[in-house]
Amino acid sequence: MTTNEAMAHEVKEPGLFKLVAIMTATTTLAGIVLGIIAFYTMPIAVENDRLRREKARKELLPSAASFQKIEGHEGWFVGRDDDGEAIGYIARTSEKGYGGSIVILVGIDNDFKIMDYRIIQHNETPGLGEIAKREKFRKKLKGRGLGNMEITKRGEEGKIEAITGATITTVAVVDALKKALEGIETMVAKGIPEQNPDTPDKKGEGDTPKQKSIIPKKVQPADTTIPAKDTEKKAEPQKEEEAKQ
Amino acid sequence: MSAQEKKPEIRQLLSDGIFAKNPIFVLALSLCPAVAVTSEAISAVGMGAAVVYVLTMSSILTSIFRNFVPAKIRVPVYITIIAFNVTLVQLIMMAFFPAIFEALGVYLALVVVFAIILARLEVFASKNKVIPSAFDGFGMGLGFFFGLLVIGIIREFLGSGTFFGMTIIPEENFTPILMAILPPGGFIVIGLLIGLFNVIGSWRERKDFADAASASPTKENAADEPAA
Repeated sequence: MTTNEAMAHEVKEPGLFKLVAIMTATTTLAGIVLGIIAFYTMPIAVENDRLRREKARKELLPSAASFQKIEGHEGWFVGRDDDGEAIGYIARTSEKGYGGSIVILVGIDNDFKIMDYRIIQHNETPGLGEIAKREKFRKKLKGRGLGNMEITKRGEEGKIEAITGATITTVAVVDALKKALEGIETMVAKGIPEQNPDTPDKKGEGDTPKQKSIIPKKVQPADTTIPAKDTEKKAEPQKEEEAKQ
Repeated sequence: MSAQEKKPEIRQLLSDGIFAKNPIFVLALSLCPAVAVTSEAISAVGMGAAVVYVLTMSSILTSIFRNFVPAKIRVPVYITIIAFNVTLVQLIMMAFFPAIFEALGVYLALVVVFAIILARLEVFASKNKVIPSAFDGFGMGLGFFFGLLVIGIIREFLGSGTFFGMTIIPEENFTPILMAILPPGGFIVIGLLIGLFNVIGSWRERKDFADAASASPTKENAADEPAA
């Protein structure tokens, strides 16, 4: 039954309208199905991501009972023990490596020494970037502070030995860690931004609406100042892109 | 009768995909991802599995709609079908296998433009019925999977001394061959494997020839023939 139709189609050159209609139907159908699937899978992905970050924080500062977000610094946390004493800090930091940004989550103790770190995003040469993630290299950086962060290629005593073939990656990782150490030290010197001690952010992650109302910050109203028109404009091309995919 | 005919045909399609027309070692298609994601065996498996799924599903969909798609816009339609399946895989991996999703990075999205997939849709699925198309896609996908797996295991072993992340040779008495996990090493490993594949292929051909010769024992044995 369909073969006859198909033959007819092939013989007669289909018009432009038909071509457009078929293409539109294909992309629309694909977009709708993917939209439905994404509706179910995206929340799982977001939740996984949150759990993974939480786990990473736990691994970096194992003795902390709770993590409290530091206002004004994206991805920075102060780890507290059961009595609410600050026992360490988590900082997200990044530096340009060989193939773009390397994003690192680092745990820093009260003496401003590196406890451990996790590379959460990188675009280095496949295979080489993984070496900077491994225990063997992380061990070389543990316990170091701003005072002893020199890199060596010749195995000098007391310095950080660069990864063979990935000096740029090594430098980027070390620079990113230095930035985090400096940043945390300055912040602590100034005093950790005030927060309501009764509502430590146990989940650690997300925004904490209660605290927002207590301490008005410049950062927060930024979202609302964007004119509605702009957001509408942005939404449109996104839709189109989805359909294309 | 048709059922009897179908069985050997399907087996033929599968074995063609894995051996005779192996996408990496024989057709030498999609070598870029074959080098990029195979420095560790686990990401090679992730990529291989994604390609098996995308190739099989895209073949099925293309075969179903083959009579409705005008020749003029067939390539954009194929690309849409492939992109649909790739996005599906991305969404699922993001939700359930975040570690592999991260390891594959941009290369997972690049499955959309893998030469091997578009080639199979154009050459096979757009001209054949659904079931043969499905097995063609599945066989080719398996061939790709198998290829990536072998390359990944060899490179990971040479470059890190591990097998799927498990230490085989402890680091104290082993200096990894760094080049194996770098792109040049990847190409060298692929090149050597293509050579090995050719040797096996010619050996099999010779055996077939010898079998045929022994059936009609007039000519001398093919064993004297030089290896290709």
